Amino acid sequence: MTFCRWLGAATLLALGVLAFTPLTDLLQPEPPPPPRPADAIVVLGSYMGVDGMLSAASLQRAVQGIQLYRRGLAPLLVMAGARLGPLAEAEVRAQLARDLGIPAEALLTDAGGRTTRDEAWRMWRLLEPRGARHVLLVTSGEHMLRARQQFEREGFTVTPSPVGSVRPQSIRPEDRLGQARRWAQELAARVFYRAAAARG
Amino acid sequence: MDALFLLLPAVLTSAGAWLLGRRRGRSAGGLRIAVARLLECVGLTVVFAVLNTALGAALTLLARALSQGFVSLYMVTDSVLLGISALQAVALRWWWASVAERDP
Repeated sequence: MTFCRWLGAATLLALGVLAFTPLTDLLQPEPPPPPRPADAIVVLGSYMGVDGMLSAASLQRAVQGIQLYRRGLAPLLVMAGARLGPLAEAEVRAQLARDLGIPAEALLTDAGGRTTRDEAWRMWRLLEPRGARHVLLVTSGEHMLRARQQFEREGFTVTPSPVGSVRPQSIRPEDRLGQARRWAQELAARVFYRAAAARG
Repeated sequence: MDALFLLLPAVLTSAGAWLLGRRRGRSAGGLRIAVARLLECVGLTVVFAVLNTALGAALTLLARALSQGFVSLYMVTDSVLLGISALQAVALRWWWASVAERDP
C-alpha cells in the first residue's frame, strides 16, 4: 500500500500542476505555415453520431477543407470518414460541401478508412492514379504529426493544415486537463504506430 | 491565478468539515490516516486505470483480428473507464481495510 500511497500523491501533484499552471500551453503544436497550393485537399475522418450528426471536430475539419478549396488551393477536395450505421461521415461531409457550393466533380469521398494508416493507404490508391501526390492535409493539431508520417510513408508530399492548432490558451483547469489528455492519447497512439511499424 | 479561485470553496468547506469533526471529538491523527487512505485509493485508481486500458486495448486488437467488425481503440480512453477504475480502487481498499480490522 505504501507504493499506492506514493503513486496517489504523485498523481494528485501532477494533476494539480497540469490543471493550475500554464504547463499545458507548452503542449500546443506549433502554428502551421500558411497553406500553399496542392493537388488535393484531404480532410481526415473524425467522429459522427449514428444519427448522422457530425461531431464538432468533424464539422470543423470539413469546414476548413471547404475554405481551403474556396481559396483555390487545390482542384480536388476529398472527404474521408467511416460508415457508422446507415450513413458514412465522408458522405455527410460531402453533402455539406455540395450545399455550400463545392462542385460535385471536385469532390471525392472515402468511407473505407478506419484508422489513420488505413486512410493514408486508401488515399494513395484514390489520388495517385489522378496524379495528385501533393496534398493539403486537414486534421487536428495533435493528430497531424502521426497523420503526416503515414501519408509521407505512402508517397505523398504533405502540407499540413491543422484544425484548432492555435487554440485560445484557456485558464480553465478542465480545458487544461483536456489538452493534457489529448496529448497523452496521441502520444500513446504514436508509440503504438511505431511499434506496429517496427514489427512490419 | 484566476483558476486558483476555484480551490477557495473547497478549502473553506474542508476547513468547515475539520472544525465540525474536531467539535465532535474526532482526532487530528485520524484525519492523517484518512488522507493516507485517500492517497492509496488514488494510487490504486491509477493502477486499475492502466491495467484496464492495457487489457481493453489488447482485447480490441484481438477483436479486430478475429472478426470483420471494427472497434475503435479510442473506446478504451473513455472517461467512464476511469470512473470504473476509481470504484474498483475504493472497493479493494475497503476490502483490505475490513480484512485488517477483522484479522489484525
